[in-house]
Amino acid sequence: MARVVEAADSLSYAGAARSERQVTPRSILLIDCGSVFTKMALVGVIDNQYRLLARTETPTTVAPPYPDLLSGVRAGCQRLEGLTGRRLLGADTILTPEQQDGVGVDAIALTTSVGGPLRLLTTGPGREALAGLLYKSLGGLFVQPEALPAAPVEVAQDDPAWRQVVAQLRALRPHAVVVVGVPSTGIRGAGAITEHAQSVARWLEVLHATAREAREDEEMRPSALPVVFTGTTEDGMTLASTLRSATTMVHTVEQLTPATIGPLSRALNALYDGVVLREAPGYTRLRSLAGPATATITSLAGVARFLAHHYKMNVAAVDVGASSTALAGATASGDFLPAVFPLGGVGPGAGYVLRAVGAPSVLRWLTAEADENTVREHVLTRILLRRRIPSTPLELELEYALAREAIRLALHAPGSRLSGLHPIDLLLATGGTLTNVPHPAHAALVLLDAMQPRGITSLVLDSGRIATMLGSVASLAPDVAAQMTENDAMPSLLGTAVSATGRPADGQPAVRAFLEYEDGAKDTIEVKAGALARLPLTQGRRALLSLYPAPQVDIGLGPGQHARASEPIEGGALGLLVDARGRPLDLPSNPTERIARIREWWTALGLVGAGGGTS
Amino acid sequence: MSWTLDYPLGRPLLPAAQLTRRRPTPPGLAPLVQPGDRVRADQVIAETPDRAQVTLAGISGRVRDVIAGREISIQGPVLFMSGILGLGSVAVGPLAFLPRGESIAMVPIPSGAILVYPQRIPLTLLQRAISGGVAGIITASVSGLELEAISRLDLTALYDGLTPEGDRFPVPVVLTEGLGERVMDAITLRILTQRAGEYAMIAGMTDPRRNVRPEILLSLPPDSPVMSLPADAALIVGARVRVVAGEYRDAHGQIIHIFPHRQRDHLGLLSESARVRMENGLICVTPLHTLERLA
Repeated sequence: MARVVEAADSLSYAGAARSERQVTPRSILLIDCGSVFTKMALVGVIDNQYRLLARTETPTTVAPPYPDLLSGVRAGCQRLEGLTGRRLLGADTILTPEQQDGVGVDAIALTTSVGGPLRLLTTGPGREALAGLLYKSLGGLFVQPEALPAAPVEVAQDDPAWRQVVAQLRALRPHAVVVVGVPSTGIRGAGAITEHAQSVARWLEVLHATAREAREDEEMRPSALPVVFTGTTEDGMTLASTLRSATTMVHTVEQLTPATIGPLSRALNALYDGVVLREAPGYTRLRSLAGPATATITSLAGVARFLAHHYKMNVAAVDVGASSTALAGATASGDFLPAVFPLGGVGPGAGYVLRAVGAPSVLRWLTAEADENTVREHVLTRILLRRRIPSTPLELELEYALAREAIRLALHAPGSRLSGLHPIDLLLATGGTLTNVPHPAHAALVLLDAMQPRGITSLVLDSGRIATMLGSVASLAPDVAAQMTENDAMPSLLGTAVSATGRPADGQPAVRAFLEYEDGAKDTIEVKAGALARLPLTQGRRALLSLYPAPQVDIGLGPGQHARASEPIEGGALGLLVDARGRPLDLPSNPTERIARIREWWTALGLVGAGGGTS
Repeated sequence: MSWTLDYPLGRPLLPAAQLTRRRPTPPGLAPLVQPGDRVRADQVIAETPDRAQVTLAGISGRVRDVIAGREISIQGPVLFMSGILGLGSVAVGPLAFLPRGESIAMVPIPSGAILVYPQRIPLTLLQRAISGGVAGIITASVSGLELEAISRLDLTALYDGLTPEGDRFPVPVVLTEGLGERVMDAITLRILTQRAGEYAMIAGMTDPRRNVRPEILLSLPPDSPVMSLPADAALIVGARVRVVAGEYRDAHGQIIHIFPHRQRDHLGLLSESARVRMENGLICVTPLHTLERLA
């Protein structure tokens, strides 16, 4: 890939509004406070290029007996000091700016997913009609929207059905209500906002009353539940007037239109900082040192948009975390396609994945015989022992099975348009689950199985594990983010994947692939339908790729259309992968057959016998 | 509520710690003690006029606070053990083991006691113990599905904080090793065996988001020397540790080196790691996340 020599203003990092304190720092401390681990990286200048100097990982400290985010950050700083010999900590602070003798750093950039997403209840007369705009506005934010049902005007408080609805709503532990109004031209009748305002008022009262009954529920904050309204000023006043006795915080922003999705987005971003993050112990002090945090998904979105803009291609970035899963897509034309499963991951968030998909969906990805109890016990252990990572081959397989399902849930989450992005030219995997793998084929298989790209895709691993931190750097120093993305976030090409759609009968030839290396050597492979195959093309080597699909098979140019690359493809850890399994990927329903098929795929990528199998 | 977050993370066992626990005294129960009184673990500290309902101290120590109709706080030195997961609220009773060699379908259940079962507890025994009137259960492990079946709870939802019914389980249960097929750690079993017949207090409440773990408290003599809290749980050179996962699971040893950079484990994953000398003399490299610091 070409080197990044992009001008600063070519960057387009989502949510990273240009800061007034934009500088050209000599060094930056990147901090990513995840739900389980706090990742930290020290960035400095080497040979006029910003490079990753050292990185470390310490437990995130938000629960007793160490309920202070700064404790974990301090421990991380100490480790970085040990690794680099550079002093970073003062008496009770991180030393900034960098001093003449190299002590301290010029800037600190903070990303986080601590505290989980901003949980929103959405309602209003425009919620359905403007759903597309609403989701666009929420795109790139760490939010979990849920529809707020209409509150009945009269209901018996001891009605079991009603009590269940209330309990379900309380279980969501909402942070705020978003009321979507209609344009002044009116989609529905003029009385609509009054009706919805009364419903919201009733809900706020009900939540307040039930929370009083259950005083022990510390996470319920009905009296302080803020309401954000997007709509006309007149409707905003009506809403505020109706809600006067239920909440003191009604914030009105501009009406949602294709040109004005920003105001709601900014209001919710501020709410995330003010409501979710400030509840995290120690965040306020950390914020005073590092500035406001960027949500991890927002930061990742920035990286995807930058890459799409820079390489003029469709990009998707995938981050499977312990407690949340974030995908960020961006097209060459500037379209932004985020997709988030905000509560589901492979660690403490594994329970949300399991409940959403069920044990059979997890079991179908395993090469070992296992039952529902195995899956449930694994998931419960991950919920209970938050810092545990896999320690047996079966646990590793379960981890990757959960990762596949978490990605699929994010991909098909309400409002997500990423599943329709074809082709994905560049697929970037980041986060501990996908970057810390025993064999690169594990990451490649998770990406191919879950994302199911079509056509030709470069699979890239963020082996420096800093991609999710770089979006926050963009607001400080865009050129640093650009260089870091190129130098350290994407140095590891897994391989080039050719994914065929349309499928002849199993066993029939689907695609023939030719590689013509720079030294004149040639290699070819014929891949049968249902199979996955690999041609080695090691790091540093390049080769011209030609593809000849069967008449009903499409490798991105139409059924049966063959392709010859005009530029050579780069080598990577896995080389060229040809995925002729078809789309959508169909796994055999018979367990024995399925396991045999998956083992064939593993073997094709060099996994079994390379420490990847459970045989 | 009887749990306070004054125990350290990462240490499953504290030989002597000064802890405060609150014992519930619902309306109708009259307190029998005053602040400053010394109490024994098996002492009645509140009762109804007809003595049909009583509250036991649970731990030996000194009464710190009495709030009539609500709770009595007691502070005292205890041997503390934390479990991996639990259900139910709090129980006080003498520790009891089942006689060896008897069928679990027929063995007499020690009513009113805290039953200690040092292996994976079978569903039949779990059901018999609950219906047989035990005060609480300490066991090494249990099948996840069986525990869900008997509690009628989706435990993933419970521990994600989505359902509040965990403390409504009829009998407090503490799993010392977790789910699956696990036997009790040798040190834990030795301590419980030595204290058989003595009163203990157990709490099944578990909330991983707030680091609330199920616990077992065994009272110590009043003037026992105690360690300061939170106890240092750092994994450092010289620390005695127990391996809780992976290929050396259940082994005990001592850390002799911490690697500055991550090491590949037996699966091939990069992890912060330590070199540990096991009690059998074997020296091995193991990830830090599989280690728990012992006292």
